[in-house]
Amino acid sequence: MRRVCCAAAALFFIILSCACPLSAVEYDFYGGQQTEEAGVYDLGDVINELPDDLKKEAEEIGTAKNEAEMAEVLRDKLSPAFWGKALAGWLKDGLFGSVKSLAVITGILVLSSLVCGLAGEGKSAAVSMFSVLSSAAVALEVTRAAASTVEAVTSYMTRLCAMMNAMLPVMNAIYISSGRVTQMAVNSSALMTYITVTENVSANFLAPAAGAVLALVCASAIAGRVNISPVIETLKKGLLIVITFLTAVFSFVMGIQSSLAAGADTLAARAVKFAVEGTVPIVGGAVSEAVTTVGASLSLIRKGCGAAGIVLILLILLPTLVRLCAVKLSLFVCRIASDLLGCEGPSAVMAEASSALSVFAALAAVSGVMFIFAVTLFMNSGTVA
Amino acid sequence: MLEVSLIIKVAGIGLLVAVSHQILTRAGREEQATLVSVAGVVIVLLLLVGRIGELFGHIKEIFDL
Amino acid sequence: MTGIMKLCGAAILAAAALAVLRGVRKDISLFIVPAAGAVVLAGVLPGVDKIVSFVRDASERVGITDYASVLLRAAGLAALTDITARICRSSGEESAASFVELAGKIEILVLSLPFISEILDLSLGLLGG
Repeated sequence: MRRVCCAAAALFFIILSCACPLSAVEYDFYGGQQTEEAGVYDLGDVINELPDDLKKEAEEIGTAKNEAEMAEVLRDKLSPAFWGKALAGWLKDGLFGSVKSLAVITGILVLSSLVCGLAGEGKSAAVSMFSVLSSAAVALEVTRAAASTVEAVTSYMTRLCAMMNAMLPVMNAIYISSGRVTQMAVNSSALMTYITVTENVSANFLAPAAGAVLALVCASAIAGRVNISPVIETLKKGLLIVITFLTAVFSFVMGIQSSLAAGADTLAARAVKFAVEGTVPIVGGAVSEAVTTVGASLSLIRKGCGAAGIVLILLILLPTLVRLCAVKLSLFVCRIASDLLGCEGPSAVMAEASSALSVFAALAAVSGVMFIFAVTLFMNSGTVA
Repeated sequence: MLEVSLIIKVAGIGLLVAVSHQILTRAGREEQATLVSVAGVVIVLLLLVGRIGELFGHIKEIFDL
Repeated sequence: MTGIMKLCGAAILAAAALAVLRGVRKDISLFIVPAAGAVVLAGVLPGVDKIVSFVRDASERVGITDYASVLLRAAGLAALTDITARICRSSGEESAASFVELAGKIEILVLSLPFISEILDLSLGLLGG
């Protein structure tokens, strides 16, 4: 399975770099009707929605004067070297932030195990109260790390939706210029629906659900005796249902053709599998799952605007995923440490928090991949003649 | 300094009180016997309380309680 | 090393004295155990001091000072409560021991309240925002 993933990832890069010699001839876009300006695509609005670090990248794409330049720029952007460097940068940022939490949690664990060790085997009352205190301390630190991660995921979803909102007019214009008006209507309404649903989910549901799960995890850690894990399981199942619902809405609304229907089903299955596989995060595994799923749809890439859009989506998606994986990795390491040191309370806290985080990672990955599907569909159907 | 001498002192006082209690009861001086035993307890208490108070003071300093 | 030897000697002496005094004068024999406990504690106190200051230094270096200070205080409370309860129990005073333990538990719980309130704040922030 690992090798299939690596092969798929390699294929993904190769296809991307091969997709760049864009066939300018078969595509007639709106350069004539639209505006005065020599810009090949009016990606200005799209670019404005992006965060600052991405703007620099995107401006290079946006200011390309014609197809050839665009191809050049995209070829550079899609080269493995570019992605490798970007990935390394994100990994460094993500790990750096979570290493601090890791150090704090490990310090607390060492202290508490020291005290428990000194107190001897007899579980006296004061010592058990002390272990409750240390569980509370660890729970606090884990909550801090998890809360900042959840905020990052929420802002990512907002950004993604804003960018897609900005891309919609561009896609509509392209449809119009190629004469497919009804398709444009269908596509734009479908995409609009999906974007609205995602926005609502991320704004009104994601953060509160995260807050509820975290609070319950901390309560179960501190109370010790009470077994709250069934409740947490139910909450996680609820989140998974939301994810499946989102994918179902999307597939229905886009009027998916059969091949892509198969792809979407696999995607839903993959999302569920990814969220459930839970407590042993292999960083490569998480990212490669997303990449494999994307790669399946990208075999259809032909057009410059879509490719640029996908590049931008990936540039927004991957840092968040990498950060989530970094946090999960550090939680995993801390859990090992706490098992070694013999403190059961903190172990349970970290296990629950880590599995909750993997659900959020699944949600983020799924929404990003859905948008990539949408863009791919657009490019697939936008062929003239 | 809180050393072994403390234990020896307490044990010594205990033994002394025990012996004098026995002698006095045998000699028929009940009240004095009880007086001696009470005095013994009080002395030991005073010894201990002072030292233990010091000890707790140190602990408080170390752990910042 | 000599410190440890002295402490071991003190403990053995206390056990022997206890055995003797228990037969003769029960009330004074009750004081032997606290005395022995005080002696041993006083003996290890310098070592404990070193450990605690090392932990404080290390926590400053790592950056977890607020956690570490709370945990250290709780550790001191737990140790104190535990030893006192054991002394009470060895004198046969089970109820006094449980009172002391109760007091210790409540104190440690009071120490953990700031953590819990901060967790609550974070969760409410997520829920409300």
